[in-house]
Amino acid sequence: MTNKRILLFNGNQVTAYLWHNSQLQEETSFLPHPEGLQAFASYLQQQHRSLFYWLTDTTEESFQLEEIPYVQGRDRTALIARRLKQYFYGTPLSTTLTLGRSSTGRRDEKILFVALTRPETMSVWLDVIRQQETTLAGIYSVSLILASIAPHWLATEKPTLLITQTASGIHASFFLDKKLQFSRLTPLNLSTVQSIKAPGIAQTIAIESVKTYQYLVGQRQLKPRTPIRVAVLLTPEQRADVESQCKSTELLEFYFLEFDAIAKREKLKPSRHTAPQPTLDQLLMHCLVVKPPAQQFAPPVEQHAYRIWQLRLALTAVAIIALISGLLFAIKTAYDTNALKQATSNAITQTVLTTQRYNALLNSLPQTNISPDNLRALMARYESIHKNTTDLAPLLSHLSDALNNNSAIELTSLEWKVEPTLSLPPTARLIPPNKTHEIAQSNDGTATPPTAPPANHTGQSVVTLKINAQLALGLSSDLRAQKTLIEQFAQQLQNTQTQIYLLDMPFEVGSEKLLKNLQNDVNVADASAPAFSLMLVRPLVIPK
Amino acid sequence: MKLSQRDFKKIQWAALLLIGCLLVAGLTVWLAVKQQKTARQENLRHTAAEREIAANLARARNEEQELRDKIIRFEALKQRGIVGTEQRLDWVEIINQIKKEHRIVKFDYEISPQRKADAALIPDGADAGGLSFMASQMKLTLTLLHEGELLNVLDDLRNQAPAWISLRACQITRQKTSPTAAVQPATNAAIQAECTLEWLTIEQGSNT
Repeated sequence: MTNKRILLFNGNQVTAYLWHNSQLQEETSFLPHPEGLQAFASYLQQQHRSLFYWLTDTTEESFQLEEIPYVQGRDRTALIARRLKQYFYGTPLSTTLTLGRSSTGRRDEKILFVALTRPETMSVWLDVIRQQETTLAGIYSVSLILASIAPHWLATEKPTLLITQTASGIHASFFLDKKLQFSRLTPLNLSTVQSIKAPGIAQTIAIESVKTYQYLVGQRQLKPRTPIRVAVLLTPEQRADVESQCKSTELLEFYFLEFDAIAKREKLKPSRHTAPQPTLDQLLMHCLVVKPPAQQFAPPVEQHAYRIWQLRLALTAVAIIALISGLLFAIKTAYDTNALKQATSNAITQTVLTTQRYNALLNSLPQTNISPDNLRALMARYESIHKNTTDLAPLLSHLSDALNNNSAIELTSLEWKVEPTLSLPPTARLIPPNKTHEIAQSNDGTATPPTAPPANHTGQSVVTLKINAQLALGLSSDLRAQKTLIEQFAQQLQNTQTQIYLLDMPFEVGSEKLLKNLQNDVNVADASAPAFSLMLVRPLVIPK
Repeated sequence: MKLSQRDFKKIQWAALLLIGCLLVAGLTVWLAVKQQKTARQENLRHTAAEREIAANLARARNEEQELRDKIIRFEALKQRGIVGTEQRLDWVEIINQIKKEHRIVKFDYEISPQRKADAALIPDGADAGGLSFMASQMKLTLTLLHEGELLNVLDDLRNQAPAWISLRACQITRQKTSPTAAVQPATNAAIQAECTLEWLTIEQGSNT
């Protein structure tokens, strides 16, 4: 942890304080002679790891309030830098406080330009600091610290003059809308400093209040006859004297702030090494360390070491954050991993138990060398083959039944086939169910176009039986009897599962065919019996 | 702000610390994530195995009787010789025995080389449960006294052959009566049948 130290400069000597745990401890003082500077260099060298704050409490501080056009970015920076050079030529120790924008007109931006006007008094010290490469956070003044913290102490946004007392003198700081507009230090005579309870201080406070009011009116920061409040920061010991001296008037309304209460609010602890009662200087130094003001006087070159320190701190912080984040993430991940492993372990145990039960069940089954899954698949396929296999017997038996009633029909040959798809000769004609009389119509020339059975449409395998048969020779000359007989035969063969196709007839009387003297033809072919052929078609798998 | 060589020296330890911490943190995170990934994969694998075996057990419990029946039927198929390599010598002996029993006048056959059963026989495919259905085509020519003999022969083949017999086609032709038939009763056959059959067997694979 970096120690924080404050170098308090009162215009002549530098006093070093150590800030630790909200307590301030005075370490040593240095005077501006060669020995003092040498001692100062040695001190800085010893404390080279510390972070230093330079606090100036001198009268050489100047304020200029101005409204500048509202611009942003580089233009604003350039404009402010130009104004600082114009107002405070010759000092690099300057800064600005933004007081907001005007509510009227162009709404210009109100800027308070502040500078330490005698840099040469500090340059000997700052040179040593620069030589020692001391980490200097910034150069501050009492007014800058008050500008930062005093608004919290003030009760109202009305124009208020804050009177505070440090070791160097009495500060009169004017606030408007809780924003610092002006500040000045009135050094105290050595005689009055002898005792903090001296009535001289109270008198000085009263006088300075009036003088500052007149100055502000003279500077047109206040309109004439404008009443203001005067807040006086007091220790309990001072209160009686100051209250007796500072009576409210028509223009100045005095009220008093309790130093102890404010010190407590700012969490300043009394030093164990010095007087038990903290001073305003200590309070200011404490606030400087705890809540450093955003603005300070040091030019960038004075803060170079501080920037390096900040960079180093940032790198270290990022490193630690990265390491801690990584470790926390790893711990969380490891915790999750452990939970996963536990779940996996449970799953393994459960798997072993279930496998044992499964194996016990399998062992209770008849022994075989095929796994249950393979067995299921194989037997399912075997069942499907079983269903897709048929025999001669059903169709032959069906045919046999029909032949029993038709003794005039004699079979010559049968062709039984299992076919993936039904293929028919072009002359095949489907006999519509229970309409066998249409055979005659077909033979009369109104042929029924061949149509495929439903099995053919669905791509289902079919069983076909082609019947080649002949009629008794005695029917050769009686065509009508032949037709009737074939009709009856076909009708008997037909049922809901079986479709009948007429392939060939003993004679052709269709309109598209040539018709000749059939009687003569019969006489010529006296020796042959009338032959015909039919085809029975059934789906291979008959739906139940 | 410009940094000089001297400034870099001032921040070098902080930079090294950052690099070191980033490396340590990165390595730790990488190892943790890797272990978690491995653990997750293991977990997925084992939980999947657990679910699978649990499903198998549940199914086996539900289908215990069915499984029992299937095993018995499978073992019966093995016993009969349908599962395993073709036993063509047994086939020939069975065919000869059937021929002898039925006193078939003419009993010619020809069995083609074995092949994997095609889609016409098994539309769902020849492979199932790590085994393959194989087919051997038989062309059978018989001269018979009547159709009943054909049915009997086919029934006997179906019942006795160590294979699943699938009849694919059969042509039955009535023979014209010969003038010499009366004096030669042995050749008094009435019909001739030409049939195509598939002898199906199940070839056992290695992964059963």
